[in-house]
Amino acid sequence: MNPDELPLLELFNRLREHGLPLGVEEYMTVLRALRAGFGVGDHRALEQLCCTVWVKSEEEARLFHRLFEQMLAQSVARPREPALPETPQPPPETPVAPSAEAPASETAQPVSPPTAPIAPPGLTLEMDEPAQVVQAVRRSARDDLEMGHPRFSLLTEYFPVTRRQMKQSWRHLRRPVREGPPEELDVRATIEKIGREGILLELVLVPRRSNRAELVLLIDQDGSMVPFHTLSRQLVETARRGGRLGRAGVYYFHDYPDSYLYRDPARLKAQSIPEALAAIGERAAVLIVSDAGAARGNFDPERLEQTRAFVQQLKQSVRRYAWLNPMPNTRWPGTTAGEIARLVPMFEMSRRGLDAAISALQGRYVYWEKMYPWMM
Amino acid sequence: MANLATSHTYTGEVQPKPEEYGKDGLYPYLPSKELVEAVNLTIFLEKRPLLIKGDPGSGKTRLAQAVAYELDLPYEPWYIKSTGRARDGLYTYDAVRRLHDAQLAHLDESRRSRVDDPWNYIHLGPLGRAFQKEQRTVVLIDEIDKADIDFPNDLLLELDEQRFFIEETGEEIKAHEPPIVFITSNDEKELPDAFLRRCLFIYIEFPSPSQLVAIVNAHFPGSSPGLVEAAVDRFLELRQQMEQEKGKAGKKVSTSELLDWFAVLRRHPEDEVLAELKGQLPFPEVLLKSWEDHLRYLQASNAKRET
Repeated sequence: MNPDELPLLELFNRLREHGLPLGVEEYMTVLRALRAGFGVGDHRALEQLCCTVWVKSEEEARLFHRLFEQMLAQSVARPREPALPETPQPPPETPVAPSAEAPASETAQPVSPPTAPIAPPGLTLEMDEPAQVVQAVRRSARDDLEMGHPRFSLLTEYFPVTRRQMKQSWRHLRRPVREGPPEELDVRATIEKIGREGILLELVLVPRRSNRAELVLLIDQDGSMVPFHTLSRQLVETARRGGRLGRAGVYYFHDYPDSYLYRDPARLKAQSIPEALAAIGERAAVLIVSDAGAARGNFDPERLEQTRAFVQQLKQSVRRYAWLNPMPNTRWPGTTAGEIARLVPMFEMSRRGLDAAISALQGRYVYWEKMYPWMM
Repeated sequence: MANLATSHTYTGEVQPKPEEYGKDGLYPYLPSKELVEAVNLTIFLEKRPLLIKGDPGSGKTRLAQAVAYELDLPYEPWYIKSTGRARDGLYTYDAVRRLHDAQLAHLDESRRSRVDDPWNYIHLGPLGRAFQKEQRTVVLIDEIDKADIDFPNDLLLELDEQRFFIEETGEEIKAHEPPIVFITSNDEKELPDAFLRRCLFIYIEFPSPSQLVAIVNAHFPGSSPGLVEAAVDRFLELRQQMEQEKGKAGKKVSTSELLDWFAVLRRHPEDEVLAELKGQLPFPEVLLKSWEDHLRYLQASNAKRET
């Protein structure tokens, strides 16, 4: 098995196209390991070497193994084409690899002598490789731009906001309160105490700060929101785990809250709106997640009226609220969403939009009344 | 493994002697071929830590110590807590103690000389100690996903450039020898891309039946072959049943639970246990950890009896 015959670079670029976070350095690492004698036994060994260096999770591993199989199938198929049925393993012929024996003598010199005998004679992918990789990496990046479509990815993160970004954004929602046992050093108070008493006798400890910010998500479920279910689920999950919030509650509704809010996505456990609002409490920040009719793109006067009525109720019992719309703002004008955006601070679901919504929930003033050009 | 660049090569074949078992958590460790290869790659590449994932109880944590034992290298475990900061692994500075000593310095000559040197108040953490050792050191960063989501990023410079600064003294600590770093994760939080990019990655697969038998034999040398086989078979049957019912994602019985279970089984007379293994699951409390698991097991065994 000669690794030189394998289009490793092609495999590497395919992985990059699928969104794996890989750079030139990762490619060079595999070459360096190959030169040192790792992964040169057979296909399996090479596959495992590349997998260890390039793959970072189980999902990626599945993708990798599939691509590797494809690559192998191609590279096995190709040498047979030149109509030489006699021997499939002659190393000097290497029809696929452009860098054959000639550059070997030049490139072998800079490599330190002790490692040279280990590397098989055909393994001459050193020197000119970095330039090739850089070029290839650049080229594939440019292709993406020119084609004008975003890279698609088989991995889980293809939303406008990734889980990690969601968590980071939730962190901005803060209401720090000191509670619990005193275990953190209060430097200022300790210094004051030393100043007063002339000597350090005892430290002043205070409880740790913990976040008491309360968040309630009101999520529009089913109908036009079906494509966004995963997205809303991610919002809920990240808010509950890793958002470091004091409390993260969820209520569901369909299109607009009509007399009841529901505690479960299937909308079976109902709670009347006044009751739910009382449970939410005035301290909590309420974030409504709904396309507000922008997904279907029509104007529904009834939906607007009902939403207006609900927002009135909401305003009376909650101080901070905002609306997150999974549709981009350019799709709002002319639909119910365009009108609702004049009633409630509404933001689109993007990193900036989410941060702006959270700023609004923090009680900061966000210029939302005429935020988008079409609102003028 | 043809590898001359480093003198250390892990084979996975050197095991502690039975009288050393349990000392500092040392036990035999039988790695798969892939795992051995990944460990050697980590040793060779020097600057890239090995990120290990796998089911709970699959031996993620134990690997580092097994490697340290075989290569006869120092071992520094760093168990991450949810409140941990990246700097704690490098060093901690006891400002309060120094302040306290400074108060009493005018009374006590020895204390005064102590206060003048900030090094008396600096304690190196596991990674800091590994950097200072003359030998390559095996460092285990256990359950990195327990820490805050930005924790791994705070370690990038230290792992990449193998050096760090002690802010209190302005000194730079440089690694004499690059440590061999193993990182385990239970996937409770996803790790940042910048960090992942620098890691090597391996997923520890559940061992094959023959590997399981070998693992049990290594942990309990001198066990009767019939008992080991019967126990492993029964265990695999239970695991398969759990896989069918809970799918791939649920918590299933793991290698470490098999070892616990076997430790209980071998304390009882062999013929008794062999008979029991054919019928009801003996000592189910070692293997079934949730009420649902227990119920499911009871239902299944009732159904079996009726047919």
